[in-house]
Amino acid sequence: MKRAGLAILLSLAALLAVGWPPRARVDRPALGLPVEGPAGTLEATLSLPFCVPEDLRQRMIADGVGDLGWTFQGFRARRLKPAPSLQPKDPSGRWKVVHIADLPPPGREELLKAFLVRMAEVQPDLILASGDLGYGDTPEDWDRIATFFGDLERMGIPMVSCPGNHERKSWIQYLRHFGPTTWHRLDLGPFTILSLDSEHGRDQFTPAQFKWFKEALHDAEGRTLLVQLHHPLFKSEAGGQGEAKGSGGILGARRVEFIRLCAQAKVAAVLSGHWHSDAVFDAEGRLRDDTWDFPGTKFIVTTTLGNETRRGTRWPKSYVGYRVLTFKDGVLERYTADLDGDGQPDPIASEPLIPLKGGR
Amino acid sequence: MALVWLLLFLGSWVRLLAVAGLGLHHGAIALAMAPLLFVAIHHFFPGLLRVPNQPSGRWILASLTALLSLAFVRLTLLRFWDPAEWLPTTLLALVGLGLALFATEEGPADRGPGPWLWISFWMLLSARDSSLGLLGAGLAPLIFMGKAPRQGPPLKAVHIPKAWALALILGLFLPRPWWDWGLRPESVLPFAAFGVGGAIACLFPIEGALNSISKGVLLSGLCLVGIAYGPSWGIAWGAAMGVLAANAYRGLPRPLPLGILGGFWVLGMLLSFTLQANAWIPYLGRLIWLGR
Repeated sequence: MKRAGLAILLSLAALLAVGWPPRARVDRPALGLPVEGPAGTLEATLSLPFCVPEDLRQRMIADGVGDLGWTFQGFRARRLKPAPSLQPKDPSGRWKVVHIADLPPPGREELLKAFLVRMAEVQPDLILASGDLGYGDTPEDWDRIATFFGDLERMGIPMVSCPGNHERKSWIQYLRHFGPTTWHRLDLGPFTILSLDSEHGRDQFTPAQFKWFKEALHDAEGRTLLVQLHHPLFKSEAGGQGEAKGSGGILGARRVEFIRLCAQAKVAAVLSGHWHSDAVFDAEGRLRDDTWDFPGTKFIVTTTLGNETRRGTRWPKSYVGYRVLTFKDGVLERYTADLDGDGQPDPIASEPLIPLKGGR
Repeated sequence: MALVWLLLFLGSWVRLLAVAGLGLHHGAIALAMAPLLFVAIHHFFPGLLRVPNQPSGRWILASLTALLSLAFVRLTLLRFWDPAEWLPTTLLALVGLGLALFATEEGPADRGPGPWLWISFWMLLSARDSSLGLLGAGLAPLIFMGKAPRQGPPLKAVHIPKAWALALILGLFLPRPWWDWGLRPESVLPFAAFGVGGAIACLFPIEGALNSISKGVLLSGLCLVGIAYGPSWGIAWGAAMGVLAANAYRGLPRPLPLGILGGFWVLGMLLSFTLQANAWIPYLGRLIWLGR
């Protein structure tokens, strides 16, 4: 008993010693919502249970969010705005979701700035970032990405991200900036967004993540489902051009079951990056360069926002860009750009970040 | 103390290394590998790592190990350990040295459920932060250090395969929830249940019943249970592993073959990670854990 008492006392003292003074790691965007600004949602891990550090409280007050509404789960603190009740910015009731992947590497920061300018015009309700957020491995490189996310959040645009293969190369930096919850669910407006971690090294889901995904799909019945993961689902060979310089890989294990589940659950779109080029497939794996309008789940690959462009399929256009998905009454209305300016969406194409030569 | 050194310290160390990845281009990585060196010393120079005989020396060493682990966790709490950073990596190496010294002794407290519960408790806490397991390991000498160890009889070669088999099996299977769940809190629950299972196995009369089972059957059972891991039944799986492993552990020859236990435990964990992560090695992705 004496030894047990000593063990308990020593443990408590040690936990206090490592946790004091109270500190917090803001795990953004574990839930994907802004951590700063008036839309304020925040999730943090605390060094001591139930103790929100003063600097975090002050930051929330300075941002106009106030210091109320904290909920605690031991060492986790949440300050949540009820996201499902959010309304779209567009007065017509349309939701605009922007999808990006494979962000510009160090040295191409001007493309991040160009994207910020474009987002100020587009005014999306939400941005999904499907991995390869950072290519550098220094803390400064990741601070730059965090600043970019912060800038968008301060514009009132929630960011929801998932990791890609390049995050694994500087994993500690990624964890320090984005927290350890690498797959997560967010309910926002009519959407349930499932962000997955198609981990590099195996390029596949673990059994635990796949189990989580199946349960999340089931729980989200009746809502508009969006799924994002870094790796595409169908072989680039399906389009006839083979792998894109070795990075045309796809999801590994459980791919067929994953596709079947998405189709069964009527997922509106499965969004990926990784190829640095655009592609859209149907649930049978056909590259849909014939039309943008076909029934069923769209398996969308979006080009890079600022890295080297490649050509992964027979689709001939390659440029840096982003994709705008428009939803009306929870139904995907549009997800490709009108490159030729004929007033109709083209198949596959994303929005160019830099105007294409010869105009639209 | 050997149990805490093996499961809590070496286990947490490999887990943190797996989280961080090994950037072999950085000098601090060599220091991060120091715990492996101590495992090798235990094997090749078994008398070299020993705690001092004087009680004051032992208390000072135990306190120093605890303080160094406190300093390490203070630096890495909420930040994740980066093996390329010199200061925390040096602290970790020193904690590893202190624990490797204490691992050589096995006092009366080591025979009961105490160390198993300690491992379970700190593994559970590491749901909050992956570095906390190392804090629990660093504090353990203050709780569990016993009398100064006496030099035991030399290890009989016939006992060695059982020790390596147990360590390898545990290393291969026990970390599977870590690789499966990543850093989510669920990742440590099976390991915590493993500790509870171990503690239960130490209690009468379960211990007596299990002792009647031959070691070969126990190890085979451990292997079969290990293969049967699934994310839906991880806690029950961990508890079953703990019951079997604790009984097999108690049957090991004394003094414990620390080098063999540590070496094969680490080897098993690395193999487990390789199988899980594929680690860019062709064909391994098709084996055991995930399949295609």
